[in-house]
Amino acid sequence: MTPASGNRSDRPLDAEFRSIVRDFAPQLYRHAYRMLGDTEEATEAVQEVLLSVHRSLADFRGDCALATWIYRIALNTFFTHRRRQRNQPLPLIDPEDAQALVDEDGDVEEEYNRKETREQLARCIAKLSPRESAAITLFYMDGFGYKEIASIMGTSLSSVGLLIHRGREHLHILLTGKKERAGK
Amino acid sequence: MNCTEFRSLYNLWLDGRKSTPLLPEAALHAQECSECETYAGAMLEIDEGLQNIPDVPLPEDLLAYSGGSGVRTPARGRDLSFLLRRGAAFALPALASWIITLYLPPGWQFAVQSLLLSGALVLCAATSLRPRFIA
Repeated sequence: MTPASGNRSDRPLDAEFRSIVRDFAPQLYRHAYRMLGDTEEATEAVQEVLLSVHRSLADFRGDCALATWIYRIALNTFFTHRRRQRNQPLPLIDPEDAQALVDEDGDVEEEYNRKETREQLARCIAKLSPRESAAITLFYMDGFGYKEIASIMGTSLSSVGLLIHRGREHLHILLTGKKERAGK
Repeated sequence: MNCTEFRSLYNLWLDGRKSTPLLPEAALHAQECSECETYAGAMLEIDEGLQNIPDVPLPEDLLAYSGGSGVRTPARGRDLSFLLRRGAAFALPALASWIITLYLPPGWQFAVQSLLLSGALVLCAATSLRPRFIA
């Protein structure tokens, strides 16, 4: 699902950059939107990523896949934007919205199939911690595997697993307000 | 198998796209432990929900990259932080120039002040001229 291969060609940088914009901009925007939860913020963040890529492209030595390199730059930028958003607290889901997710019998299974519920779930991604939302987005939306995510995020495979697991648990709490207890 | 081990294993199984059957030990634990059974159901629903997240509509101008020498000048946002940054970029060199000129002979003050204020204006303008690749 990775949009471009990691092999560098001998194409002029400008042509390569255009190709990067064409291949990566939509995916970066989707990722930014899921992490930041705001259209303008996402567009601004993608602008910054592309600017950084443009400035650094000549220095890219191909030590890692192009996608990995671009996503490293992107994540640093998105984390910076999330830090800026820190002063605007991200509340838990509106109780009325949360109630709407649960039908009269309290059965959420059917509700998950509905589009608005999935959109609600998508919005909750922006309410996770920055690293959790990055890992969840890279895994589910960008289609990266553990190894690639570890490389992009500069962490270990086990940490990637933990971030995704915790991310799922936190999404469940955000959606339902319930934490599943451990028995024994 | 305890609950912590089950949950860790179950999450790994989900991340493996459920490509292999769940270990019999784990399946047995889920049958015996109602909390873990509920947990597994909840995580499965989240996992399936995440795999079916609706696509984000892209801004129409996302790919309107003009490229090369035609990199667009930003129509920057008018948010408060941007105005503050721009104001600081002008005010700080202006303040520095005023302090420096206090120590200069009167004949030099105007020339040095003009030079420094021009620099401050250029710096101020530079903060608003960031190329944009998306219109």
